[in-house]
Amino acid sequence: MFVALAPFYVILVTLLVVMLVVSFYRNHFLTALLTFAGTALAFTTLLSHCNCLPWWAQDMLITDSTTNIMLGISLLITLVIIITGYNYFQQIADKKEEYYLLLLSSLLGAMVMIAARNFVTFFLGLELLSIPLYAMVAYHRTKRESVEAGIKYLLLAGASTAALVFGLAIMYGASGTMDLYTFAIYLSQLHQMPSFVLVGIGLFLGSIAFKLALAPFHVWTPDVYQGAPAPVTAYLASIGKAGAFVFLLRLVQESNISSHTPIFYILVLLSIASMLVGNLLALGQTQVKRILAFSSIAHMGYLLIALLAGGNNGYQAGMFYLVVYMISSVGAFSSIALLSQNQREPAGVSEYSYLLQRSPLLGSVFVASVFSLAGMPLTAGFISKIYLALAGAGAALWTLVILLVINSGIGLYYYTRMVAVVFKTQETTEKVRVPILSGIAMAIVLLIIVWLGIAPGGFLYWLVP
Amino acid sequence: MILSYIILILIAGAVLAALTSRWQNRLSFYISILSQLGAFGLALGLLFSASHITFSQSIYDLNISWIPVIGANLHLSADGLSLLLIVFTLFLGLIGSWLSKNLPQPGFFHFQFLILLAGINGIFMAADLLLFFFFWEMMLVPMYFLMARYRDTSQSENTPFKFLFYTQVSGLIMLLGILTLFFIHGRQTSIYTFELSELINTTLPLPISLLIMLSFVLAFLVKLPVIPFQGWMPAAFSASPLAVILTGILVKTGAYGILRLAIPLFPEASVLFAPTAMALGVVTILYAGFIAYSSNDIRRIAAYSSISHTGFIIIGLYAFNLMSWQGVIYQMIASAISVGGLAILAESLYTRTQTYDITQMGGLWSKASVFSGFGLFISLALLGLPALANFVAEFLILAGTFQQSITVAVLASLGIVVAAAYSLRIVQKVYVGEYKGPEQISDFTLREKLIMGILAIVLVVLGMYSRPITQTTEKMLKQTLILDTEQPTYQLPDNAASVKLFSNPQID
Repeated sequence: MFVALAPFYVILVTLLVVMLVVSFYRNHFLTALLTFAGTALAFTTLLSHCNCLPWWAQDMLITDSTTNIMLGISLLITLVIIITGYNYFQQIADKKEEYYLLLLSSLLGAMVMIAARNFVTFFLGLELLSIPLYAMVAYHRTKRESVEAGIKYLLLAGASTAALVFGLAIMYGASGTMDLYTFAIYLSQLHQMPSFVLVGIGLFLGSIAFKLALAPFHVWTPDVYQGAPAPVTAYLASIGKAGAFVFLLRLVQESNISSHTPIFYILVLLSIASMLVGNLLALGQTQVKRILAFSSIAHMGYLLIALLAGGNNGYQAGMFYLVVYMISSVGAFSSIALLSQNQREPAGVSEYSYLLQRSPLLGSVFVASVFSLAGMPLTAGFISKIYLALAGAGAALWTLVILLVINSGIGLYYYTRMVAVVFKTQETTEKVRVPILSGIAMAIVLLIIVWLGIAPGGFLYWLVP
Repeated sequence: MILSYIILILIAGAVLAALTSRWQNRLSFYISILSQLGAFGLALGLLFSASHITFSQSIYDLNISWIPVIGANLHLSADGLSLLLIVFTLFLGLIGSWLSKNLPQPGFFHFQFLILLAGINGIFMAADLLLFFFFWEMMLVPMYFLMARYRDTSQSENTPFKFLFYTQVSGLIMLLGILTLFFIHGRQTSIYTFELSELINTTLPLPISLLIMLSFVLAFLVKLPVIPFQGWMPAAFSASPLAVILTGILVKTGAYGILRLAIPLFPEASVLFAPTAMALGVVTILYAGFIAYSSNDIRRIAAYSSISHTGFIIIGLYAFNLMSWQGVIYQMIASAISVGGLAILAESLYTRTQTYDITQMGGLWSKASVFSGFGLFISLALLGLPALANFVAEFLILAGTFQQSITVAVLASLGIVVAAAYSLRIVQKVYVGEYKGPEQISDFTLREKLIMGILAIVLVVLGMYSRPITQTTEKMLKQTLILDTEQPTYQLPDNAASVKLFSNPQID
């Protein structure tokens, strides 16, 4: 009976154990090892999956295959972030261990969001995800830009949470329920949406758009991505977005929310604005983390196409695109983390020159991840973009699909600018030393990106509802 | 199954070459050559029995499920045309890797090069539209890597990007066309599949068919390239020593795509498009020819002469008769060999004189006679001297086009005059006249002699004895033609110029 909740319990227990260990005996390696072991154990409990929630959790959580796949991917990505971040945090002078506490509690929040079937659970998960993130973003306590990023994120996220609570209150007032499915039924019985329900849903969508960094709610993204330590950026860009998107996907799949004209146009405008803003603003950037931040805005815009397409194709395209986006982001940001030396991350595009020569593995992972984000063939991003276009074309969303194509063309410019310098060569370069475990983790990321780009059949088969 | 071995051998060779270069640089070269020879042998063996096979039902097929959720299959198939092009691609590939024996980072080079060859061969074999698109896009990546890594450092950094941008964007537009076709076919038959032999039976309203065809043709015209889309090509030619071999192979995929996909899938729309295509072709021939004549950079001349040749290919394709299509296939091969030869000469010249500018050279004949002899030979081949392959190609295309449109044929023949002008200008500036180069200049090395010798022999043999090539492709071309002429489901307007093209009785 507890099997279905096992991943949550394991992470919770790990969190408590790590907290106790840190308060008695500070040791970076031990903390990282415990965190890693706990996360890995949580992943293994997923393998014996059963859809058997205890009665008191049934109204709050849902553990279908969607939950299971997203939990699995999130836990695997966390493992990669822990491994590749170990050396990064080793360079920090003091207080390395709290990072793992924050990471675990934030992960727990993300897991709750992924499994939420109630707006209250969703809200709890969102807060549990966000509050540790404020501290994680500002983890370089002595660096001005890191602290600045933390405060920016805190203030804006606080405002968006307020909007979310207000929106949920209105939605509750209108429908009398906080359950996702009951609310979905309420929505589908509405012929015309009363304006106060629209306001409530609008506020709710706005705060989710903030979490996903959809334009025009994107302004925090570049600064926070740049200021945060690279492993935290990897976490923020991937798992930080999974929960919100999965919940939105569930809501849209269950209700006919996007068939209400105002909601449809809100989503379309969010999508178009994000694609254009993300890609156009990325063109002028010179710092890799900022480019990737703007690119993530654009990617969330693409993802909305899957949401709007709806149906089986939309569901699969959305899930697949999200997973591929998460893996590619982690590949790119983890490469940045591994390239950092003496607390300094390589910032400008030119600092990535000769990367292939300095470290063939990191160079390959970086190129593969960036190309996957660009949607180049032989990488996972190519297939996921095809799938997205397929879902969009199937639902006859031609404007969005054509914009997707145009924006992919614009995107090529800044993606290839990052990749082109990697191929430069010179006579002598200093090699980058990659720790062996990080090397293995990165090689696995590379293999997954290439594998999903060549033979995605098996993975897509899992996504068939 | 054998078809998949060709691709698998190349991919296995790529991985091995990348891994072994850690220990021994030479080894990766030999592995690369060996795997290419293996694939070449297999393809050559198949070619002799290929003339009777029909595409997408051949006995060598591999057909397994690839992405079952959306009905895409890993379906490889081949007929005479595809096998001929495969053999030829591998031949050029062998020459290319022989030329680049001394490049730095051989492991990286051979890995990308073999993946590129695998992708191109995949294009020629794909019997599933999504698989075709996959291979079509797949070859961009290694090509981009090669161009980025072995870029001529004096050139702008944007060259590889230009190539990537042009081809990727046009490819994505083709994807939209593919998806539209997929959904229309699916809604009609409730079988959602990308299988080429199924999609051919889709009935499309003419405007939609025209739109989808344009989305396909755009990608192919960019790859060929035809005049408004030629921007990436000269940049690519000056990018790296082997770009020429690579582009020589790449451009053929565009013509193949039109012949295999655009025309059979959308016959009526293609007929409507034919006058426009012919106009584009004529403009391409003349405009590119004039630029080639006015350029001083020998690599630029090579690039534009190649573009000028693709003009002939376009004209021949849209003349819709057997003779011109045979000519197109001939032109694909002959143009790649002769332009490739010119570019190899350019590189050899550069290593000796440190310049690509033909006005800086002169009188080479007195110093390096073997070099100049081959140079003259290549120039003569370019201008279409009878008994060499280019002559056969251009003659067939022009004779076929003449039956459709006399104007186009006459205008296109002017291209041959321009070709004579720019190739003889090379001879005049480089080989004869007063010697201007450095004091000491060496003649061809043995390797250069062998490579150029092989190219020359192929040009002569193809020029004298064309039966094998016309025979292997005849069946496939006739099939496509019949498909084209026997299904006029739409009444075309009587006064349209296309009607004349359409009702061509001349099949044999």
